[in-house]
Amino acid sequence: MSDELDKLESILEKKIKDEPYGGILKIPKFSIFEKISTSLRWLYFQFENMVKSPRNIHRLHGTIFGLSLVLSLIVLINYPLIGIILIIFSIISQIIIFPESVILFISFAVDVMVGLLKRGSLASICTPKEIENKKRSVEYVMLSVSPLLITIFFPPFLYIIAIRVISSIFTAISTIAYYYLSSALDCWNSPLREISESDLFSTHFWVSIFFFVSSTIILYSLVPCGFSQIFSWSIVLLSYAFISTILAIPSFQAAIYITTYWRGSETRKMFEEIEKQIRWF
Amino acid sequence: MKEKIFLVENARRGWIMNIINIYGLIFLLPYYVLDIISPFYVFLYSIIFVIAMPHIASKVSLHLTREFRKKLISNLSQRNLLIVSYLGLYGEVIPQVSQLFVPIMISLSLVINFFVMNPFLKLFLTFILFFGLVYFFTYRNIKVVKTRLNDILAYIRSQ
Repeated sequence: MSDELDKLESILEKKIKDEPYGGILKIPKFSIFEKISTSLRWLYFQFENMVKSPRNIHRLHGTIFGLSLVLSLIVLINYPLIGIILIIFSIISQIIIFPESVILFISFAVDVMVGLLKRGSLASICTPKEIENKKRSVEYVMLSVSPLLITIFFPPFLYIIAIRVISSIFTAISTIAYYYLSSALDCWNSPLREISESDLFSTHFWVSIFFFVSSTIILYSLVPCGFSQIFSWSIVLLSYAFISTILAIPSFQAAIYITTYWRGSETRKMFEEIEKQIRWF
Repeated sequence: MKEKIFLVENARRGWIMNIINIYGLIFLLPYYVLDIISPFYVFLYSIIFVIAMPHIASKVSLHLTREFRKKLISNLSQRNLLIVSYLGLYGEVIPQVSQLFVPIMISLSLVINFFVMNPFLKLFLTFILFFGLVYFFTYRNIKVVKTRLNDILAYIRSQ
């Protein structure tokens, strides 16, 4: 047995010597160009996955639509006819490429705007699935209209002023709705959370504040001299909508906590009853 | 029974405060707009407001009240505790906000506009005021919700 093992060892050693690099493969070193191209391919792969993800598709289309409208407006200022054609083309192509955009706009109008008039607040009780659907429409609208805030730098033509007013109002309202829906989803994902101030003043809050402040600055820039009371009125209305939404979140978290606790205690009682029955048998 | 009344009353307060504030602000807008055109239109609007608005407001409020009552009764009878406890807690805090936040914001924003200063400084002061009120009411709200949580849990346990 040992002779055969020695023979095997000598055969293997001979084979190894015949192998290139003595049987030990050199690890290839990539050049800088190859490293850069590999990193870029990886980044492109991640970007492609992000873009194709069903969670991001409406955000991407909303952003593209908003930017296409901004570019169309830039052209409209200098070449009115071409600008109008571009705006119509943007809208039609958006509907054709992403037909869901119409449904998202309609559901935003019905769920958010009509809801605000019916309840006097943007806050409402929803299941996680309903929140996801509403958040989808709110995100789409928010990303579509917020690029139009840049029209503050455009010349004050009548149609530009109208666009500024509409985009500011829609941005402010969609921002408040986005904040509420994101926070409500966090409440559902952590039902037994002891909510605190740091949960309320989160990244969502600061993003919302940024868009809210930007839209109110746009509104302020539109107020002619002597009309400051109207601006004060709009600030009071929008800020009340904001604060009533912020105040709804701790109550919502507490309500989820209560119902989760209640369901838990009911389930425990049920198991206790079952245990008693089993013992009895 | 007392706990049920507490929940129903809080739900009503929360609902009515939001309705009053939003619709109240909408009805006040013409005063601001018409005042710029001419005081005569303000007077005309106030006459129309006094004559027609009570009828319109009563129709709207009756319709909204019927809807609210129907929903609340349905939620209570189906023991839809999520909605009931949410409304009970929300109604506890929102009246103070309505009574304090809106008048403070209106008064101080008008005072800020009264002074002659850089427009962006005015905006900055208005937003500082807004953030201050938001922080104050949010901290207070969380404190109230945590206190009331035990009361509502006691009510649910008693059912």
